[in-house]
Amino acid sequence: MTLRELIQMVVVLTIVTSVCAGGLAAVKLATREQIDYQQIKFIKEPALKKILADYDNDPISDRLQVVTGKDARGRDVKTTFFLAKKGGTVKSLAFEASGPGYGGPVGVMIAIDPQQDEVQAVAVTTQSETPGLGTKIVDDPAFPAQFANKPVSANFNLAAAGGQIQAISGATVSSNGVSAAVTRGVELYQNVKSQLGL
Amino acid sequence: MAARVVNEFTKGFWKEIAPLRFALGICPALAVSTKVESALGMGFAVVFVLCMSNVLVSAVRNVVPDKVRIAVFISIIATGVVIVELVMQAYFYPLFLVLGIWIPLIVVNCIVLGRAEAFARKNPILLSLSDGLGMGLGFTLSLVVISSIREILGSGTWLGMPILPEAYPGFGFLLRPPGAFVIFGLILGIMNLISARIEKKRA
Repeated sequence: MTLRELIQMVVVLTIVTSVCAGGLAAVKLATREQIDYQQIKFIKEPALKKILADYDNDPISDRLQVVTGKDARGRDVKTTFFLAKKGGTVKSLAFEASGPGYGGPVGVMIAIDPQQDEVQAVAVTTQSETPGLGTKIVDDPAFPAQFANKPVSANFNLAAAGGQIQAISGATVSSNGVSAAVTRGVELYQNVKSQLGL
Repeated sequence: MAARVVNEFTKGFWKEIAPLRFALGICPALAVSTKVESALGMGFAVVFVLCMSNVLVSAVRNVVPDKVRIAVFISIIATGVVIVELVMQAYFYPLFLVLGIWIPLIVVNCIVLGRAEAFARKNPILLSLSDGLGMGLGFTLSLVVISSIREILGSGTWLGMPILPEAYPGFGFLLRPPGAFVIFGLILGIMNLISARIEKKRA
């Protein structure tokens, strides 16, 4: 290998990778705001709209972050609570929880009435279940409706595990993912209720 | 020249259709073909990456030393893939959620690196673009065929629209990975049968 070849290789690789990196940085900057917007809009907003019924504020801007536990490394884990108010009083608070599904974690948004300590509604936000089978937890409105209007002390496990929830036939594991997520969610709510100042 | 451009474009649809003739890129082809919508999204992402990488590889083909060419090709391809990922996340968010890990994995899609190595580094830009477009659309076509069969028979819909009567119970097997292999094998068999017939007629 001559010195000339060596230099040519270094120069070409340096130029190519710098141009690539510069281009990517530009695209990243150009899309950053749009991506943030899309993430709130597509993941949080539809679920919020589905489960919050009666409010006159903007729950996405009226949100609280509360420390709800520690992760394996001892750092704080925060949960975001979206507050739905009407005439200044908090009608419901909505937050996310997750449980193990068939294709990965199932995330749900839960709305709780803090005055009555009652689950108002539940909606699935993120999932990677089998299309056409497990995805019925999203597509079949009757399934999440089973969680509504029950006190937070109710047993949200599947009927097979002694709870009050009927699993979707053919999608027991996915149904259990939702069920586990709601169970964790109400537990979390009961633990942090005093910190929310409601 | 014009005839060659057309020829490089059309070969991707039958004669050299990558997933079905060379079994290249079948991993994403089987994984995202449960729905026609995700198949189309994946297909167009590959078309973009393939065209971009073919054009750029062809443009730099005379200045890149042979010994570092793979590193250069991979940098170009990876850049294209990340651009697709960011743009899809910004403007087609639901599709981005469905395709998930398969978008970043286009970097290691054999079709993309294969066309750079086998075609674009030896041919001028216009021919490379037409090759990339043809190969990419051929890949999209294979995905759409596989996903149409899987979606119609598996869940009774096509592009989300109901096709079969509501009473159709669905055929969950086709929506799972083994079902994808069976459909893929059947399509391969039918294609080979047709090709053999054509050969026979010519002879």
